[in-house]
Amino acid sequence: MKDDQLERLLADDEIMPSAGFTASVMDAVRREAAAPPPIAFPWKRALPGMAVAGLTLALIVFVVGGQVVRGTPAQAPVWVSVSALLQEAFVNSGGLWAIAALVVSFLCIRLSMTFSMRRL
Amino acid sequence: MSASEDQADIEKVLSGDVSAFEGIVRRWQRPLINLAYRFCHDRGRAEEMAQEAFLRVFRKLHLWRKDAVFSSWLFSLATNLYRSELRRIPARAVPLEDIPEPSAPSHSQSGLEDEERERVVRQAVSALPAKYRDAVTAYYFHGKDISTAAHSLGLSEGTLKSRLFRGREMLRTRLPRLISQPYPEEA
Repeated sequence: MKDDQLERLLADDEIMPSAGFTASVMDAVRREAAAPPPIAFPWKRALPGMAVAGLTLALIVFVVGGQVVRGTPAQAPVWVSVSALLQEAFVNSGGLWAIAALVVSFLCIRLSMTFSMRRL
Repeated sequence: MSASEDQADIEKVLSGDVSAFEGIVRRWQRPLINLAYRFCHDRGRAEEMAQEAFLRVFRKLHLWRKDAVFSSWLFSLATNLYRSELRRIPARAVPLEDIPEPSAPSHSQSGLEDEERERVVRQAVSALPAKYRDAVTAYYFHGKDISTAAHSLGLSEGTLKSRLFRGREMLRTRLPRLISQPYPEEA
């Protein structure tokens, strides 16, 4: 194959913009400029609540874990007492419901993405 | 395209004069639309993609550093957008091995033969694997400037050269009869 022939064929591919293109772009740009700015996440309001939630969770784990550890035999290996502690904390703090909610959310998102891709 | 005109318009836009962005659109609409057309080979879609590219430029204009060349930044942003769009919704492409070669050219129909030749080459480029297609498209769009093409794709020059070589080899292999036929005026 001759390089200059391929070069010529690959280089020649020009179109002219349509008459209303600039106006269409500027309409979109003006709408964008007129739109209100995105709402920032309210960190100042959220941080105290997140800190309280974290401390509460840690307290639950500590209290429940202490009860579980006292209930397990002295000869049990560390991983048994730790896993029992985690299971107890998980169940008591509504972890099962959280997992169920996450699974349902995931399925909803997947289904809606599947339907929207089919439409395209 | 004047770099100073771009800079002046950018400063006006950033100080709140949105209408100054029209100057940037008028100067760059043809190159951006043509770059999009090289990727998708659909006029309507090319203009939609170019419009989205301009919107992104408008949103991110404050991120452009004055010491950088505006055209390089613009093409880099547009190329990334076009590649993402084509990954999301690929252009309708026939597999490379299914692209038919055109018939032998004749002097009485040189215009039609040229059009068919160009159509086949466009189809063949669209059918290349994405990384080779992008390399070939960017290289020829930027007037065979390796440095500019590599920058727009976010690749090193070595990587671009390698992908370009491989892409052209695939085209040569698939279209030997087409490419070996001289143009009517050369016959």
